[in-house]
Amino acid sequence: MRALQFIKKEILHAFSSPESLMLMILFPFALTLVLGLAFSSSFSRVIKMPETRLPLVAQGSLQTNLYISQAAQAGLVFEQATLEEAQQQLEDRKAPGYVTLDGDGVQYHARSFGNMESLLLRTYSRIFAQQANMTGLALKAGRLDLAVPKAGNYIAHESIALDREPDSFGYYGITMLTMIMMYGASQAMGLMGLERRERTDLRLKASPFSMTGVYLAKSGMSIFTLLVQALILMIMNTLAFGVDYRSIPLVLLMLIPFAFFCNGLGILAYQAADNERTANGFLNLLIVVLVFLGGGYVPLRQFGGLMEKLADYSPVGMINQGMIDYIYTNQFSGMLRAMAFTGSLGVVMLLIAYMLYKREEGSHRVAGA
Amino acid sequence: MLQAKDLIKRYDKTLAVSSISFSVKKGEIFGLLGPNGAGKSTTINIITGLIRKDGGKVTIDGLDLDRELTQCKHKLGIVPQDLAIYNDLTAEQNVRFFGSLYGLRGKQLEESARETLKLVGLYDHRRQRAKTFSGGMKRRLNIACGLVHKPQLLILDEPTVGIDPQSRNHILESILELNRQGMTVLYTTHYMEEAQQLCQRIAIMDSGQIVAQGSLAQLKALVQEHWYITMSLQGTVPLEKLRLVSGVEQIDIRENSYRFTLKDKKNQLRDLLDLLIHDQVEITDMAISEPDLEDIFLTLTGKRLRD
Repeated sequence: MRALQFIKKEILHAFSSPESLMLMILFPFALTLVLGLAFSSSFSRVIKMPETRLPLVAQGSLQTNLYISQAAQAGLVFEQATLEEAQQQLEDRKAPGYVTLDGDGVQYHARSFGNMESLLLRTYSRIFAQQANMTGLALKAGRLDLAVPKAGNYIAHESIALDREPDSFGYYGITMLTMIMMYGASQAMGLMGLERRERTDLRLKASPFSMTGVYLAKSGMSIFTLLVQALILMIMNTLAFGVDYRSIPLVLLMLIPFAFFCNGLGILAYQAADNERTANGFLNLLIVVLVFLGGGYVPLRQFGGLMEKLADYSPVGMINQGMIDYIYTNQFSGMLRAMAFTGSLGVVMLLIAYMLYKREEGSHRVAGA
Repeated sequence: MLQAKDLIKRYDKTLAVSSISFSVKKGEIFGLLGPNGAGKSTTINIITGLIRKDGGKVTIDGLDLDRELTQCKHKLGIVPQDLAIYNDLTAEQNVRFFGSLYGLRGKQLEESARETLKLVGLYDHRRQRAKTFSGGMKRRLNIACGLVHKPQLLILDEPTVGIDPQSRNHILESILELNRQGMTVLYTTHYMEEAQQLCQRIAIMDSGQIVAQGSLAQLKALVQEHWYITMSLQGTVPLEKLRLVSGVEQIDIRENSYRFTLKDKKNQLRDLLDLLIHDQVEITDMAISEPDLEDIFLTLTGKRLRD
């Protein structure tokens, strides 16, 4: 019951400065917006092909009509023209080239053959010509059944799952979430340091409430606050930027070990440094490094080599990749590995911090004598 | 109510508390008087279980502090020398929280919080955050947090340091009222006026030791063979010559007056006056008075309380 009173007090504290709580959420939210917009092109895997229009000089025949109609499906739109008109368009730079289709076959006339239109046309025409040759051969052999090309599904995968990779907002929706949780380490430290700052540690220690209870209530409250912040941020990102977290409750559950890690880091830094300012300076530096290595600011894995290795072994990198794997490919293995790693590291840090904390009991530092 | 026997506390090589013993009776206000650094706070921190002692024994209402620490803590209320309140919380939230740590719940907690806030004169400000309070109000809240659970023994460690006279009087009145209601109080201070005004018995501490203890009358009896004369003087006072007068034990300069401690009134006073007249020092006022705690401390230790 007393622990509940303690938690109630911590909640009152947290809400006594809602502005700082909001800042903790608005900061990553704003960063997601800024970075999401700034890096949107870097994350795009789709090249949009514009419709290609070319003049075509040809006699109206069955072959020509077939050539034109099939090309349209590939995004090549031929517009029938006379030779003079086609040449004029080329000269006036209204068309990158033109195509002639006659007894000599398909010919492409252009000023340059290194452009996209040329590549597209050559690819299409080669396939068309091979198909026409096949039809001719089949007719010659009297195999009418083979003369008409059959439509068939020759590709095992019907499409490339482009939507299964995060876009820039999806990516930063994850990395900014883990970043804010990392800053939760400072928050945990502040919560722990509050009693010493206000000198209320004397009263707590003089009371019948156990110091272990104080430690548990404080670290528990800190983890809870961190998860609430993560939840709010996920909801805001989903509503504002359409970030997909697949299942917010499940992601939140999976983030619990990481919350232990962040909390353990903050409390251990505080207990070990013996001084809130030193611990804060150290933590601020460490958080920036860990977030960077985890690909929080730029996706380090894209660079390959050492950077990729560092990201692989960084706790934040593990969590980020684990979440990406879960959200975009429904794979749990990466996330489980990250949960086990950060969770156990978090528990170890919390235990060490607890031992340091207990050592203070009965020392003159607590009493301030 | 409280018995402290042969308490010892060392910080590295410094002996902060050197084998001190005293007892506080139920229902009394007991004062620990001494200058800064005398060992008062260390003694209190030992009694409240905040620091480990290096020797000795403490019993609170018959309970051994070492063996029954939690039960002892239930009987104690502490008001630390430094403000120990949550500045971001309201007065009421502060008091209720500290009450809840001692197991108070529901109506009992509510009533106790209300009574305590009324006692220290903060009930009308109960919804204000502590950070908006003046220094005196914070001090009063500091006291309220220590007594909300109605402890049997309230320990106050210099609760009036650095506050205005009005708040100081309010605090002293509150302590007397609590004592009238039956609460035992252990009060540390380096203000002799407070100790004189509040305490039924006093222990004088210096350099980690108790140099004397008892009621004010008993303490005065310790220096009964001395005479205390206060003079207001004008002109150049030959202090060095005055100190050489036989039987003049101490000369304490208090604001505009000189307080002389004499071993033998008749002869020494004549010698003293002769010297002042000879040096053309004008005596504008002179009084022979009872020793106060400052005199007693000075006589016993050779040091001033404010040093």
